[in-house]
Amino acid sequence: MDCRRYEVELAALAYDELDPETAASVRAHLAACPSCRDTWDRMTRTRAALDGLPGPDSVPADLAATVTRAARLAARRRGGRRFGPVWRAAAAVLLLVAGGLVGAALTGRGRPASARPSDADARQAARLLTAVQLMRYEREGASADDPFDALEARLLEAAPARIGRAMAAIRRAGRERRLGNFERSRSLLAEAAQQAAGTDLERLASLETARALIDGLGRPEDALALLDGLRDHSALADAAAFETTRALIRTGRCRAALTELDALTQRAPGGRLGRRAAELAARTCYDRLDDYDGALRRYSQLARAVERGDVCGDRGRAVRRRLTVLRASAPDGFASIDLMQRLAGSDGAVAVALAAEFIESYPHHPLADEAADRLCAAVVGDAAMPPAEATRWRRLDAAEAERVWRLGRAAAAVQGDAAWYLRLRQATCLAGHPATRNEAAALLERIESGPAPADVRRAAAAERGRLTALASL
Amino acid sequence: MGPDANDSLAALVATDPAAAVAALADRYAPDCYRLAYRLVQDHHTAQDCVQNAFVRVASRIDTWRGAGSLRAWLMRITTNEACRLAVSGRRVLPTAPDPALAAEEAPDPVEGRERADAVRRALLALPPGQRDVLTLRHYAQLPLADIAAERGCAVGTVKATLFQAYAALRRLLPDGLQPED
Repeated sequence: MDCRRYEVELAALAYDELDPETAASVRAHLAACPSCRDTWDRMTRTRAALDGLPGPDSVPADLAATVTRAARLAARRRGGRRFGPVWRAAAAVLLLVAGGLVGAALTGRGRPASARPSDADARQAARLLTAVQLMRYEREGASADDPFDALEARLLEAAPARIGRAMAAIRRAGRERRLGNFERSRSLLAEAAQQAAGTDLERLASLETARALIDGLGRPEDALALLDGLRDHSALADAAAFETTRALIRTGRCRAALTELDALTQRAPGGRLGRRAAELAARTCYDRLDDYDGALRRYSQLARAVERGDVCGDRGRAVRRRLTVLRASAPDGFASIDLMQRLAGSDGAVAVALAAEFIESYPHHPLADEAADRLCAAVVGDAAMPPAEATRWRRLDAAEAERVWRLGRAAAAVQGDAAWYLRLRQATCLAGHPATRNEAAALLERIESGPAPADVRRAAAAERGRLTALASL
Repeated sequence: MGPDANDSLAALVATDPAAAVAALADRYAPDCYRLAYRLVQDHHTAQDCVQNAFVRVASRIDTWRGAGSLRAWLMRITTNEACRLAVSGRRVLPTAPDPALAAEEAPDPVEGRERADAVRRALLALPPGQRDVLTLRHYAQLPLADIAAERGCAVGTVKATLFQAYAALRRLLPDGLQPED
């Protein structure tokens, strides 16, 4: 009898995967062959042992959503930066320290097994683990090739169990935060703080809780209170200061945040946290404060860090992009933006003076037209066009007529070069309509022959030449 | 999951991989979780494991050969991920019994956990091929034909591997767990 042939079918029989004929023949063989029956019995017992591995009581309700989000995030994060030598060196130093800790724990093994690990052990382990987490924190963003994993594993081997549990909860909380599950992250951190009470890890859990409060829970005020308690702690002070600025920005206190950020940049100029502070300061200037001079200064400094390779990848590209945008939107320098902002916030004689200054200083600026409009508004206000003027410009459509009239009033109200620029604009308006070309030509001739700035006279001559050419057609 | 459900998923893989991953998660994440939980015996690690598996799936979905069912493919990746996490010992730390806490625990679950740990260790000690086949058939309840298609081999080979896995497992398991009554 070929037992081998049947043996192979036994596993399939156990899972009911044989067709009826084969199953019957295998069963017949089992009935006749004690050796195979013995094999079959042993297999059944092993199979019963496998069922001793219980399944879960329930499946998390949000599992599919969490998993999908993680997959999408990972797809986006791919191509993350690898580690630089500085981080390897830092990790190596910590590894040495960790070696000491492991050694200490090993010599401590001689104690009675029932003794709880001392609080000193817990505090030391927590301090080192916190240092590792802070290094991770500073290099937020890179995910691949983490040299701290091995180090952390090493530290955890020697750490007391409660520290291990706290650390595991903090790591999980970080993952949940990155996935947007802020409430879950917070409850894990509360658990961690409890486990690691009285150690650095408890404070680290506070820091992480503050991040969750700022990023997802919309409670920056609570985060500020929490962070306040961490600022005296030497290891966490800078990280707490950085998170404080983020909370301040969320509460609208951007100026205060900017002061803090600049101080942080000064304190840690070469460090990653210092660079992140510099980036956030520049972004705050640009996005929140509309302080373009400040933004230019800070982005220019960052651009140098980009050139040195200290800021790279997406962040470096973002810095370059911002600088380009800033420069393109302000071809005549940032003073023009500043002037425009002051103009927007003023009225009456001040607005007239500022608008005139703008037009004189930046006649070719894209915002010069807006400055002219503001000047007109400041001079004319809500006054209606007199009937005589309406009759004079009746051949234009109403809006054009109004604009020509307002520009004339504004030009009459201001002195110097600005008046000539406004006249030129008025002439350009008139030249745009066939019915008023004669008036335009006359005005242009006056500009050309008057004491207008050279570029205005050149522009007037060019425009008149165009009109002449049109007329001869 | 009927064959047409799988067909539409397979079509989605070709046209919109991101949507396919979402659909896969919707349909199979609970199965993956149950499977992973068996192997790691920890709620959080099981979740991590399913997450990692789907991250892998998302990065490789365009290389899916189309041989075998997507479910089988997914289950194999989950198994590998679970074994990786279980072997790396991450689970051990958070749930290692603290001497002070152990006294408070009822005796029964502890015994159950020891038993489960013994089975888990034995499973992890199997050669990967045998381990995969056994896990996929026993815990994921995949038909042998699906496993064969996924592995790109004959059903007979899978049967033989499964049989060998049982023989090896019997040697690895402590005698107390398979009483000779």
